[in-house]
Amino acid sequence: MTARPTPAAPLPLTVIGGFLGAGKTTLLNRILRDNRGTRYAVMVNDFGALDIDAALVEAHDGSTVALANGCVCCSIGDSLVDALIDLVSGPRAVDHVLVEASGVADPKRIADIAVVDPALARNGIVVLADVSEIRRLADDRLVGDAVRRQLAVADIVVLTKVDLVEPGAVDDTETWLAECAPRAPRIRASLGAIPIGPLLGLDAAAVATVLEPAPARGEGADAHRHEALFHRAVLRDLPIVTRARLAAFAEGLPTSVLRAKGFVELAESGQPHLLQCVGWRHSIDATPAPPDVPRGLVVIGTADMPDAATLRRALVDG
Amino acid sequence: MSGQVRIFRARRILTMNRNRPVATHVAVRDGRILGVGDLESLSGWGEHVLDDQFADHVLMPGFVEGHSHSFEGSVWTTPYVGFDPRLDPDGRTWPGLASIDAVVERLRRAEAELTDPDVPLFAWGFDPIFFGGRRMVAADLDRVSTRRPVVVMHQSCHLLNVNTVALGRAGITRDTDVDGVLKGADGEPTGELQEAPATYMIYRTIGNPYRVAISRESLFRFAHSARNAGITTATDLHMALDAATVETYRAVTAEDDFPLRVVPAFSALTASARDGVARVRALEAFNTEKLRFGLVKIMTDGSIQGFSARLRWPGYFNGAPNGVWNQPPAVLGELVDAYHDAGLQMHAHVNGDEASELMLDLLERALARRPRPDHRYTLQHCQMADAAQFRRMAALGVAVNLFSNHIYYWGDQHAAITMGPDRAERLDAASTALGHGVALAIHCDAPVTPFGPLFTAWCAVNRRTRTGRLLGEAERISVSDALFAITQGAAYTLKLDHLVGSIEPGKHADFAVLDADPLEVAPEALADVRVWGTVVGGRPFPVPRPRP
Repeated sequence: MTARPTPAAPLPLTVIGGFLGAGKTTLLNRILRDNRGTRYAVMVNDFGALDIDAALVEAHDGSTVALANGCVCCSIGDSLVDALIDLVSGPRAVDHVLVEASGVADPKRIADIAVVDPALARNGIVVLADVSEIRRLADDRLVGDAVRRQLAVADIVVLTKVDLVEPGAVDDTETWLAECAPRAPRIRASLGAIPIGPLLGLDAAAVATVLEPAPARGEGADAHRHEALFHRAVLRDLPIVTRARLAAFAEGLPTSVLRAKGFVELAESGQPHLLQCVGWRHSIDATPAPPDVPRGLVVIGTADMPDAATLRRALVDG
Repeated sequence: MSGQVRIFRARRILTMNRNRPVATHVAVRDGRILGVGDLESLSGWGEHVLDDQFADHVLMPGFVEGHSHSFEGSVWTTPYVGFDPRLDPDGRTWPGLASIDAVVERLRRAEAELTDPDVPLFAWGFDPIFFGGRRMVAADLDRVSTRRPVVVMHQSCHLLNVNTVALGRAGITRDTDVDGVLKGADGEPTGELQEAPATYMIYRTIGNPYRVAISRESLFRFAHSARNAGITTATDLHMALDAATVETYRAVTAEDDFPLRVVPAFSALTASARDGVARVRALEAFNTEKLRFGLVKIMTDGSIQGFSARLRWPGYFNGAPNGVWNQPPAVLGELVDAYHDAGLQMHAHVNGDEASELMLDLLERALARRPRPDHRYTLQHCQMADAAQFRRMAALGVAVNLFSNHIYYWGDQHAAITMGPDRAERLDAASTALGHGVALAIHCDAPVTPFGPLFTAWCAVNRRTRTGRLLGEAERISVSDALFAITQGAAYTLKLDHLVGSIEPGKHADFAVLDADPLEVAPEALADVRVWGTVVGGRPFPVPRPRP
């Protein structure tokens, strides 16, 4: 994720949910430390909890901390709406907004802000679930309803602390999760090792880079192991399909697919449109992309995701 | 060198001091009460000026509003379009608007006064529940303007109605697919937007004049609204207290003609416990006679009428899902522990009875771990507490500040929709509180409902809803108890009862100046007692009487 969107491109907004102790802060700390050039704006209730290296702090004005690597941490304070408006309307250049949803917040309400704001692009709800705690929390009298709600609206569920419990117990919990969040892809991960890029998705510029014609390599050869945990398939030279066909393809993606993104030419307009899938949710831009974007899809999933040929058949043949 | 002695003569003085409950004269020197009695007994203080301006009035201790917000001073920057009549900071009564047409007409007049064609028109206080199910739609507000955005904030502050220009500016169309954008039978947005994210783009593209930040003007409006109701001490019960806010408080409250003692509470959820404790501790150095930092507010749940309050079983009468916590209970527990250990005083917003229960659990845990005398932790709103919870409050030394105005404003809705007819009887159970020896205050939560301690007392005494229903007969309290709650009761919850809340020697010379004696009028007429104004530190502040 080194390429930066043009100033006009909408800013991806990802919600990081999960109850206390699920690992949200650990994940955010990793992202801030290892941002690989992407300037993240991290919005949290209390940035005192983040492990910010004082040597990296460039500016601190009470409610925001700017880091030397381009990232910025913002305190949500009284109102997430006000904090987001300040960020989106303000002068600070960032590439990606991460909002930490407190353990009792409804992440959908936050993610939907990115649906209504053309300056933002909904980049999904990632909910972390501590496998040693999640089932007890889901039955808790005071917070069980909020915990279940978070899982129900998650686009991607990350099972954390899997090394703290017996493998059989992880399986049991995953079976249980499959009922709470039946459509969301589930990832078992150590937060120290989970690849950030695939988890948070590729921005539009990065997708375009990946999709640049590479005549020397065929499609199959491109479906390589992305990083230890994730696989990636790249589909090029896609046929023109109807919007309904493309939507049916997105709807039918298995839970082993985390994200898909790219440009597909629609029969209705005769022009390429941006398709984005996060977990079980997808969107197809109503307005066409510029005619010169490379056509194709980048699909990221777990090891058991379908290969490129299978995906192509699913798109073309239904 | 002491100042001059001024003796105010009044028709009657209700001191709220048991040793001399009634008097005719009060002597004041250096802004404090020198003595209370008759002219003869006070003449012993020597040379004095006899002030007769209140000879026909009744004096009470300046009222203490234990739960209000300086946001009251922000909303009045824009026209009021509510169902009930309301007094503005300048002493002008805005008649209530009983139909959408009346709302539109007031907005049209406000629009006609705007000279800049590009500025949006905002208004506040709208509540559609009284219009027989008819909701306001964009076409209504298009009658106000088809050129400029028109945005009407509901009384709840969470909902908006906007016109077609505003919808267009915000990019809200039939394709906008998020919760809270109401759509008509034709699939088009109606113009009613319920909470974020639906309201977000309005604020982002058109602005938000209500965004909480205090200014000299808003604080004066806040103080003037309080003065108009006889209040001399009021809380600003939820502020982040950043440096600019603190500086504004300090500068404005130091002005001689600022007619209010202000108690801002630090909003604990806006900072880590460590930063928050340090912040509040540092602010205490700025305390003056008219500005008192040190109080900490902890938000737990939402509101009952918004279905966001946390309720115990069996939950909402209409089957709505349980409400929301502002933070996980474990986080709230960490905050309680940290502020408790720091020796700071906490007031907790708890509307539903599950929230009350959680906060009692957290306070009990903290107090068992580290006992602390006279902490005066206070449960704010606490609208659904039952006798068992009041017994726990008594045992823990926890005070309560009940939202008695709810009985009138939303009592009918609580009986019909939120709580059901039986549980609604115990809404804001003042008699149960007193019966169990819980220190009691009652409040208005301005601007949620208007400032008016005598009205709040009327609610606690009569328990009549808007439709006249008697809600919870057994929870009615006496006029004397209600008057105590709006003076010494509230002062106690703020740890200011040694300075304000009664007319007795040594305290600030803060009075509510009334046209009639609240103990003499019929209890049903308590809310009709007119307020002349206040005296703060010996200085009179009359309510302006604009020509009609």
